[in-house]
Amino acid sequence: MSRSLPFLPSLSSLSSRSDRDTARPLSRRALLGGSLAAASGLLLTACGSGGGSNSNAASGNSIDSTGQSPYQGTYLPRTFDKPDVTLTDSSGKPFNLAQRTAGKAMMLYFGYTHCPDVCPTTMGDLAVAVSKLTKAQQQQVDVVFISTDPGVDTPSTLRSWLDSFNPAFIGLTGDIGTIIKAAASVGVYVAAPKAGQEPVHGAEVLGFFPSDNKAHVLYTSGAAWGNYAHDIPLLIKSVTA
Amino acid sequence: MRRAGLLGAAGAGVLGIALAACGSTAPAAKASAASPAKISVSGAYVPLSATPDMAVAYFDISNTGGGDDRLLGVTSPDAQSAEMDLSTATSMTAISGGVDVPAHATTAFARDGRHVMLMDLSPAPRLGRQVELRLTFQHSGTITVQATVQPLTYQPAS
Repeated sequence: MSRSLPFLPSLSSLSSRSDRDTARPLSRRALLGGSLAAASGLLLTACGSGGGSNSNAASGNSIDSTGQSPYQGTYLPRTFDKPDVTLTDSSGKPFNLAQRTAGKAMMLYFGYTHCPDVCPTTMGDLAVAVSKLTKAQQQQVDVVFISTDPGVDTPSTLRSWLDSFNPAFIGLTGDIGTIIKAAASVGVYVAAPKAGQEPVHGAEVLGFFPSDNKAHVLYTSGAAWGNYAHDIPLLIKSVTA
Repeated sequence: MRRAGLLGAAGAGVLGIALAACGSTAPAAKASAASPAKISVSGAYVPLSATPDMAVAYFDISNTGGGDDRLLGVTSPDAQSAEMDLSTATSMTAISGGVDVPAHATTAFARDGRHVMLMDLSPAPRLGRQVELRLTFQHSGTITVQATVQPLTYQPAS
């Protein structure tokens, strides 16, 4: 399966889109998602899935095998600012993301706790990766989970769910409109939950540098814990490609 | 349509010749004729869940027979409900209409793909315990397997 290369045309075709600024991160993601879906459509066909997959098909892979960057995740051609957003942390107190995580590497994921597969496996991968770091490295990275289903994910629900992975992981919840905007600002699609429908989670994890507090590396669902364990020490040092 | 039909016929002609050339010793020729699906299920596991009322099961279905089959559904006597789902890039959907289990292939239920969502397992899963799964196939009937409860972050060797 080809890895990050198929994404590059999608990323470069961005500039031909005429969306307004606020919509740009979303449309970029949609393009990414489109190429993922196309690739995984083939995959699913190949393994004979009978599941009615749609344009949001599963299982992309952002792992960079081009040898162009020291990262195993996809080194982004453009960066995203850390969202300057105030949400509620898992102790119920206000938490400004940009201020409270400033100067640290950060892995950011949007998801929901009542999620059977992708959210727990993503957080599990991050937990295993962090467990492989030295104590000093562990203190230089924050793993942040922002709820996409804040009506269900109360501070205490977030806390007990995250404690299963790593008690140091930061969980944030709050107004869904604020969360959607924060997600869009880093190119992650999130939608408000609808009654009777499965909520959505982010399709990607973003890795932020401590030096400039910007996202430089992206991971989709094909990422494994080893990719995070490899990359987090580089992120901590703000290593550029 | 006509062109496709002709192409198809030509394809079948070639195939026919190939089969004839192989004679009756070619396993593929025999298999495509009549041998039925032969299903086994392996590697079934349920990772401990961070969510109290929900867990998932993953497994591999191997069809070493010559005929295709189809997984129609999965139940568990240990769960309130069981549902086959497909994870998508940003969510998941219930699988309706079953899952093709083609001949000579392994069909995986694995993370970031297909899984069986188990609601309200009772007793609650504990490390090393087993959860019973009953997989019902269109041609091969119901196959019962024991899924082993594994750590939250467990990943099978691939």
